[in-house]
Amino acid sequence: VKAGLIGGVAVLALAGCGGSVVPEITDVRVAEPIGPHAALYLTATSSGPSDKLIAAATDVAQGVELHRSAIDDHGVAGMERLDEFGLPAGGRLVLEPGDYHLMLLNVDHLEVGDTIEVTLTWEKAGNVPVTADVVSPAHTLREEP
Amino acid sequence: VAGIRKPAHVLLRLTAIVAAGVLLAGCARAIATDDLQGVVVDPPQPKPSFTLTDTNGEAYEFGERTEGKLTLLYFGYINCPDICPVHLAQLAEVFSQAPAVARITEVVFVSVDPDRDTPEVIREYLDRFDHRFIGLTGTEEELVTAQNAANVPLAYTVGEDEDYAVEHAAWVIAYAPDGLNHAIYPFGTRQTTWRNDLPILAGIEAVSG
Repeated sequence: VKAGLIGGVAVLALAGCGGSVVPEITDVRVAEPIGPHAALYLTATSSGPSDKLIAAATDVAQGVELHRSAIDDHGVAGMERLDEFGLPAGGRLVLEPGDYHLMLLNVDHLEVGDTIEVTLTWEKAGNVPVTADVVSPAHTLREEP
Repeated sequence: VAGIRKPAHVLLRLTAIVAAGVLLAGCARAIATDDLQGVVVDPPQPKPSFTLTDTNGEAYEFGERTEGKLTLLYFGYINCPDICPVHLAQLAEVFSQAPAVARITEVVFVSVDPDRDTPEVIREYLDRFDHRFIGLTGTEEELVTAQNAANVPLAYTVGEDEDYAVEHAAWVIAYAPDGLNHAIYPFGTRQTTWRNDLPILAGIEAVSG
């Protein structure tokens, strides 16, 4: 009985520390590429500890970079490359136009209605596969800000 | 005597009609811009004149060619996957749903990335949205002149490798048929705003005709 109890506690402990709290990923969409690259957006919701999105990969692009666009006080849009996107404990990480996004470099020909498979790599949760819908850039912004 | 009085009388009536017309035009204008959902520019700013090269490789004098037309001017670049296509795709979709508005509107996209965006590349890019969109580019110097004339911050490149980014003004400038910029549309403008504002802007005609 005692061994069983210890085993059970060990399993629980592993579940907690082993990073099996996978963020819920919703609203995964990629803008139909018009130039060489395409931007991918999603929402990640944490139901556990904080985590970090550290990489992403897909077969349909030469590479994936973590980017953030920002518009400064003068209305000038700029973009920077980041090493990670933070997901707060119990909070949300929102990737959307004009802000955080994954940039798919030299992406294959994609059309509205296609879907692509992307693997997100989280520091704690590890690899999380997701499916992204290809949508028109007219529909990457959510209808209300 | 009657021959002298009559023209004076007519002139007076004409003056009254013109005055009423001006008043009405004034009122209509005030009400119209109140209904705009874009960022209203007050007082409205004149449309600039500058000359760039269109996607046929021909000179395009912006002020002359867009005279009397509702004109949407936007500075951007093609390698920009996040911001530029959103504006252009939204406008294309609004136009496809409202052909009457599309017919009276000129969309002018100025590439501020002359090293990568040749006229052919710009044409191919714009055709993915709407073949009526006008694409312009020019030498560095001509582009600086155009941006200064349009009163937008100068675009500049960031990064050394071939995937350099171009920081650029993120808003669309709307000139009504009266030749004035009445509103601008920052990044994040929704289609509902375009659908509301474009007909209003199209109706702002020059008072003097």
